[in-house]
Amino acid sequence: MLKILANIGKNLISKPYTSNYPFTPYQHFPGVRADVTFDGTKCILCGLCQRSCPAECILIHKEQEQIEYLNTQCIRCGYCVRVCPTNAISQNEVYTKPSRQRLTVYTKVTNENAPVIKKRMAAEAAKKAAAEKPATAGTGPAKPAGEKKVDEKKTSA
Amino acid sequence: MKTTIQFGPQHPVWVEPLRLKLTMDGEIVKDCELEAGFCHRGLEKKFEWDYNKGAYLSERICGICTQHHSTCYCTAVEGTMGLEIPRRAAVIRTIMLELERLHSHLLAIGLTLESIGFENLFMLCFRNREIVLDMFERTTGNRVLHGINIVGGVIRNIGPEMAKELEDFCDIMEKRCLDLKDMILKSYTIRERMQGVGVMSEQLARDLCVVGPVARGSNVPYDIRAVAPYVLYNEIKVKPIVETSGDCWARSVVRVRELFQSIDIIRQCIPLLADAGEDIFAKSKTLPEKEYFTRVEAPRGELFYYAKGKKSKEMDRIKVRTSTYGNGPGFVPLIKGSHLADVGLITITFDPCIGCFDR
Amino acid sequence: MDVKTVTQQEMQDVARRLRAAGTRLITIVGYDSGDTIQVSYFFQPFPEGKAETYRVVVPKHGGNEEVESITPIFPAAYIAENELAEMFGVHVKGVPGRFFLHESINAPLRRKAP
Ligand code: SF4
Ligand code: SF4
Repeated sequence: MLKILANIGKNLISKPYTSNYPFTPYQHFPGVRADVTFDGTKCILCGLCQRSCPAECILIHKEQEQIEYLNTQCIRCGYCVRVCPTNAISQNEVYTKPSRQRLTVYTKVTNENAPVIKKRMAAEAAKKAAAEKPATAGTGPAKPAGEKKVDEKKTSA
Repeated sequence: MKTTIQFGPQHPVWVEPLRLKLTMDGEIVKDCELEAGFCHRGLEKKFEWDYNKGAYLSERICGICTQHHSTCYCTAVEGTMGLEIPRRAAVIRTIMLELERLHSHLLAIGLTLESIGFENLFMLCFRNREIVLDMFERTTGNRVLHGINIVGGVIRNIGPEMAKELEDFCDIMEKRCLDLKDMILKSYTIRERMQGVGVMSEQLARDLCVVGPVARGSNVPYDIRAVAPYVLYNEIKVKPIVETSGDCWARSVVRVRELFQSIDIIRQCIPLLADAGEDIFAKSKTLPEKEYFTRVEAPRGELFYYAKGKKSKEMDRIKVRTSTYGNGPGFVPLIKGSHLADVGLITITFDPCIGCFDR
Repeated sequence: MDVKTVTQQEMQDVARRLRAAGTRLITIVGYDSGDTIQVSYFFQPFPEGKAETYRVVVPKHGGNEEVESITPIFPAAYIAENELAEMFGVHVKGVPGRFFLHESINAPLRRKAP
């Protein structure tokens, strides 16, 4: 009986156990895994993350030079961070808020070392060179082939 | 007069869908029919997949013993390609397995108490469980689906500071669990409600090959950690905790006593971290090709994975046999002849995980 | 993992012998290798001993393969044998053959013969 009274007294003066949520915001621990961010200046569009993502939520669009990331489908496993050869992916620590949208994030890749971009730039340069001296352009087999490639790129983009 | 009562698929006692078709004679259950498969997800077919992704898929079989599932899967796949994991990874896996058992048992005890209407103690159990989940968030980065196991090791290290925190956590947890144990074991109400209800005799437990706390509550000392040791249990000896009476009370008492066993194992593991080398991941040089099976003692009992590779990245066959799958045949003989009011209590002391059962 | 391959009749004797010795059944695993269905039985001697595996190889012939049931000897095999029947489309004598799946789904783990 005395123990119960002591407990009641203790509980009366102690603070509530639960936190006062909207007023005291939730503090996460360091190292919590949340959604991932892509760094467009580092990515080389190799597509490894797309192949190894268990939730299949990364789509690499090589033609558009773009990474499509479906945030709500991601399971925050962090496996893509492990496999990326250029460390272009980093994991955030803040939870994603509930949302009505699909929260699809597009990242434009601007890394000039990416093979796809290198190829496009080379093709553009070739086209420019071809446009500058159209008169002297002979019947060399190399140039028409180069132009064709550019056309393909343009139409698919 | 005979009445038929549909117990489930949606019943507040279990969170997950399972159907019991009860034929009643007054208050007494005369016949019982078990129907499962409401959340069958076809995961065994899906496992014919890239083996690295399979580790994350196996976590999603069960929402409570995720670490056990992924450890068992990873050990099986490592066996098919003859890969030995570094010692530090094994220690970390063992710590995580025991932490997982702590929170799963606290959940099971809480739900059992809730099903007999003792909601205060249920909240207390969940309050204690919360600090285990906080520990998980601290060490692995996620509260429930940890995702730290991959084939070949683990992805997060437990450094010296974290080890210190784990030690403090063990002290706090032990104190709280002692309080909880006092409240449960000394409570006259709980004992009167649970003793003598749903008795599974030792012979029946042996016949049906039930596993985990259900078997150990019926005086069958079957614990995979002792019978066929895996990761680090060769060094850390585990003595199965056994109760003799075989009723709902015995099954709950086994769980309460196993809380202390888990804390003890975590305490034994922490010093091993100091001289366990730095590697936490071993890269495999071969692809899975042989066949292999592993067993892990999950909180609900023995968990079995069979893996067969075909010398490519995809696995050929993964068979998952979960603990509720082993305990499933035990429902029917216990429910037959009991009161309707006891059906919920009997099934919840099996700690059924229907997500595991159906896969 | 060492596997002993036995015939169906031998399997019954093996099961009876193991049952008398107090062995526990772990589970039954089916595997479709293309032209045969392999049924593996896993046992764990109790209280101690190494796990034993026995395998029955059933040649496929168009969906009416028959497997002898060990449920009368080991009641614990009931769910596993039902699952074997519904997943591989084989006929296990003496069990209904439907436990998890709906009637409309037919043998999802069975592969086409090469
Ligand atoms: S965190 Fe996991 S699920 Fe999310 S994008 Fe990376 S690999 Fe895919
Ligand atoms: S993010 Fe990394 S893995 Fe993905 S395509 Fe770019 S470089 Fe490759």
